[in-house]
Amino acid sequence: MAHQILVHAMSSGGSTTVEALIKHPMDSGFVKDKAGKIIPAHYIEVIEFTHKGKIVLTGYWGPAVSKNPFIKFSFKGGKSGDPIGISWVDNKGETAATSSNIM
Amino acid sequence: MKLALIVLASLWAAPLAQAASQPDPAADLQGFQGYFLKRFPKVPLAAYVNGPYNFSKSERDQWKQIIEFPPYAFAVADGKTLFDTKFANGKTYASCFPNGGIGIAQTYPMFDAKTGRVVPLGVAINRCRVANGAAKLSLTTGKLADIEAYMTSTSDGKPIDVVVPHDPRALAAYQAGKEYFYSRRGQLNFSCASCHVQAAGMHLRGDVLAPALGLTASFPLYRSSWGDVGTLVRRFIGCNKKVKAEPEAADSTAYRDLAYFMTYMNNGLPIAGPGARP
Amino acid sequence: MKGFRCGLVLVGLLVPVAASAAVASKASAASAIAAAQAEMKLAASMQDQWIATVAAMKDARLALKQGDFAAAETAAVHAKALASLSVEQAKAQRALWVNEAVH
Repeated sequence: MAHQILVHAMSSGGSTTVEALIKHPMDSGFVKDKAGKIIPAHYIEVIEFTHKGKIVLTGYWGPAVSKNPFIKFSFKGGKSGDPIGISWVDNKGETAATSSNIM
Repeated sequence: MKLALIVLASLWAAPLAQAASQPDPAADLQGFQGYFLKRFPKVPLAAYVNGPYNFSKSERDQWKQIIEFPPYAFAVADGKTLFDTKFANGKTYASCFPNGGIGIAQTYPMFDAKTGRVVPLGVAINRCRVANGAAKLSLTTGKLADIEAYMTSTSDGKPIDVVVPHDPRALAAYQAGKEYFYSRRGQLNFSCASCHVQAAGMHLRGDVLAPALGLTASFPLYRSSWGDVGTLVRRFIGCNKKVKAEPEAADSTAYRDLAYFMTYMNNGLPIAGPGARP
Repeated sequence: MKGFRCGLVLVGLLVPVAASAAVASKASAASAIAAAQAEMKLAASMQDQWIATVAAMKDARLALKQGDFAAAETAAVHAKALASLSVEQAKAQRALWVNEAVH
């Protein structure tokens, strides 16, 4: 439950559209909590999408990306049933990965 | 002329006084839904659950993209996990509700003949926790909103079926909710109806005001301005603050009765919760 | 500094016209707060408390605690006036709400 990633990948007309919702606080390091203490920065730095083990998208993210980010992109190729993998690394060194199949 | 006016006024006042003294929920329901259907003839009854999106194409387009991958998905998933988690005594939430809590959200708020009070779903969840030795949760957001989101998602599409039984206490609660809905309050002198009946479909700054018809069907909902899922009570508190009135307590009789009236007015409309709003 | 405080007291005396010309004392401030409290209780029982009323009351209590009795009395009188207005509003709405109802 802590590090959830939800993925949808659909192929049509020779290209595949991938949508993903990633659960992450994405704290910028500029926000204070109720007690007035700064919430330390905690954000995803690198996110990678793979198709059959080959990287199709690498994102270098930072503190400007919102909480629980949503990403949608498409790439050429991909067939129904192909595996799609996602992984991210944040500034605290935490990681999460998941995989899904193209519908 | 003056006399005629007075006679007219007294004739006018008589049925109103009667209507105020003898609540007739079924007639109110017909009149309430009829008012909106007549005012917005292009919007079919069931579409009212989508609130502001019937009145703004740009918001509707954005919403359609948002719900392709709904932002409340995490809340529903977390809610299911919480719902299935056992209490210390080994029982789960399912033991407190008919049909194991699945597909029953459309019957809430429910009138409880034992206590003589209205019980919204959130209060019922808290009751279940207390009965099983757990502490109450906040009625506005967080874990309880997640559980409510999951339970509501299992009722998706089912017609809202709130019952006002022939019990004077139930009718009194219904009437109190109705009065709260239409009474102006706060320093800005607004009633719930000012925005959600009279100004329904119009703009309040950048947002489109949702009609009161269908308003409760998509709660609990994800608001982009909240950044998470909140319950109907959270919205009540927000609305009261916006008109510069002190909000009531989250489990107050006033809010229970208000939810009772508002949800009853949506009877027959499909549950569309959890929803997403700007 | 002394002159500044003197000015504050004068302003404080100008606003509560109803109060006797005597200098605000701890007792008079406390009784003004009690009167406002009673009116606020009535407003709350009619489900119509204004946020401004509560804020004024908070100011009154804070001033009383700090020993600024004139400011406490002023704020308490203000809170009572606001509470009375909201009570009037709630009383009027007991009859007027029917006009807004759709049937």
